[in-house]
Amino acid sequence: MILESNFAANLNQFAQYTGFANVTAGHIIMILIGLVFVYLAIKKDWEPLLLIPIGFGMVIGNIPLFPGMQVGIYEDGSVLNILYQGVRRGFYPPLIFLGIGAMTDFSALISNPKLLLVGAAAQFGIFAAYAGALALGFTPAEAGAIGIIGGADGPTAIFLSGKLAPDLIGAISVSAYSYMALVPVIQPPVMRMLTSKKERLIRMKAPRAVSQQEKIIFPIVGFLITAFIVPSGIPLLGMLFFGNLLKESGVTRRLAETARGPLNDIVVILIGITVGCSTQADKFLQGKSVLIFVLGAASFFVATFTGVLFCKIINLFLKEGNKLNPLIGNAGVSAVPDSARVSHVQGQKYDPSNFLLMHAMGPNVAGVIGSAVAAGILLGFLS
Amino acid sequence: MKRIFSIIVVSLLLISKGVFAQSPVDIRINEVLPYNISGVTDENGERCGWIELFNTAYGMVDVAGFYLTDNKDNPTKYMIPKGNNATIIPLRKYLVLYADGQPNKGLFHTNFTLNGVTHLYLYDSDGKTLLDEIEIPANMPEDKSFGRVKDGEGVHVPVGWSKRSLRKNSIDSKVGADGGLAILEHPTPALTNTTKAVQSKSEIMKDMDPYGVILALTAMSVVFLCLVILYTVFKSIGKRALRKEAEKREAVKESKVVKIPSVANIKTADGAINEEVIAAIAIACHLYSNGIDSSVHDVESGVLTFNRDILNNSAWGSKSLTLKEEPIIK
Repeated sequence: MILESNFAANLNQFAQYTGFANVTAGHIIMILIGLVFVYLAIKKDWEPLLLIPIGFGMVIGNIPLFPGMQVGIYEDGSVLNILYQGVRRGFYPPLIFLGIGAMTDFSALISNPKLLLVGAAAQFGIFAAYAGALALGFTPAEAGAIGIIGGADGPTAIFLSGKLAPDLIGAISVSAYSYMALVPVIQPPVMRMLTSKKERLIRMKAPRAVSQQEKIIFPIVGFLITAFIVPSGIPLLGMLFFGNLLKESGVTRRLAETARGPLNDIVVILIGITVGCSTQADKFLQGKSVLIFVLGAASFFVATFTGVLFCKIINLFLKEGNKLNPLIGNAGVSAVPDSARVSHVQGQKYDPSNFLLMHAMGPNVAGVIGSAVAAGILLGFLS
Repeated sequence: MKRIFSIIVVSLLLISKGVFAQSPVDIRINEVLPYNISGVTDENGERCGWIELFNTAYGMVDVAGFYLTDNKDNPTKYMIPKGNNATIIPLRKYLVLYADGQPNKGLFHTNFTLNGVTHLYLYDSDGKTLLDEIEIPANMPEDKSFGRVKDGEGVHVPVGWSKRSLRKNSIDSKVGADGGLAILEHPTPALTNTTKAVQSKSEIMKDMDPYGVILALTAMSVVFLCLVILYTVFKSIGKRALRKEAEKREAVKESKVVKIPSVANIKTADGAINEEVIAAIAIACHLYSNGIDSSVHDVESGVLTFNRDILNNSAWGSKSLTLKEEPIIK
């Protein structure tokens, strides 16, 4: 009799620990969102390398837990919490930047440096979202973290939100990655709206040859200039240019391969899964998250708008034959290489023999530098 | 390449204001309390004046062997004891020494008191290099300390600096006429001297720029500045590269006397193409692909590497394709 009652009590106690006993509507909604991400990644091939870790991380992070079991991502000392420190303390994003540097070819930019300015113009999106967030009642630090979504750079968004608004990391990073995946949907209408058919047909001059010496000088000089002006951007800029030097030096092939290959993959897995886990229903399903998504979308529109517009303005000062095709303006928003691909696809719609991809890679990688610089500035002013 | 490297080094030297490693020069006399009537007690429960040192660096500094003195003519008056880890000051932390004139009472007890002391000097372990000095106002009130309003900030004597540069430093630091030092209302041994609530940068920005316009303009200006400088630098580097390439091309053209074989020599007697012709075509293709005769392609290393594909189902990993088939007896 005693055995039976103890057994029943144990079963009853165990039941209290299960997910079924602690589940809420929020958990179910977040698990469904996570599964939608996984579906989109597998079925639609939308940013699968990011959406699968983030989507499944959302499922992991939203399994209802009995508090105090030291398994949740926000519980000190849990395994997930330890992995999450890379996001929270910001050491995953610079490692991703190392990989980006080691896989990026800056030749298009070096051969046509004026494309750097297009990358700068597209950063207006960041500050439009910043002003919008302030108007909606966010604190300046939160607004800075939200604004960086407009940089269309996931690691930068995670890095900055980890420093300025850790509570919003989940919403900001999911928003940034979602819109990066939606670049082919968001950007073309803005590009078409701002350009005439004649402008879309502009053929740009073939990029000149870039010597290895120039490719080696670029990361060194690029880092020195940007880091001296914005020292707060050193973690991102330093790793980006260091990775690129590994690639271009020609004598560190193994290191470059590790940086852009296994190391980058490991960090992408860790960053994706922990960011996904951090979207626990009680922290994610808030009015603030909806506003962040709205502001994120607005910042992408503004960034695309200013990038394309800036190309048109530059064209006013360029001679015939040297003009830029304004369709590459959208690529200034980073999101490497998706936004450059959008430029190319849009250009080919109007002239199948016009290949814009290489030209669009210029503002695209300039956008990476520009958003890292912008993040450094925001960090310097607001942290 | 050498010239560019030299330019970078010289530019860095020109724009650098003074580079100090994290070292003794990072230690400051941060706060002193000459007359301690009702303040903190030492490890023996007794009250005496105290001196607080602050490590301004972002790394640890060991102050063992440093000298403190109230007399510039006797710079080695009191040596901070060696051989104890307690003399290591962690980054942005403090060390308090009791100025009771009784060095045998504990590790951090100086052999002089602060009664009537108007100057306090901190010397490096060589006993010659002055690291910092402060001038304590005469007639200091009881239980009031004198020190830096903000930890580690304000006028100090960096190594090798003259009095003139010291004055300049105090002006550059925007520390005001008092040099950033003042009588502090609330003594704070081993704690920060800033006792007032400090506005965060975010709060300051909210007051200064509620709509975000100023920050947006500032930040965009800086982003453009960075990228315009990069543009200018790489524009000039690109021009230089183009010039060099043109010179190289010209030199190649001048040095090469291209001997065009006669039609009769293109083919050998048996009708095959002459080997020299094949070699000439190969060289021409090589020069073309390496950008010497054309600017269409990047200059590549030209090294071809075959990596073994480790996939099991590839030809490289397939035993059936790489091993000889065993003879089958029919």
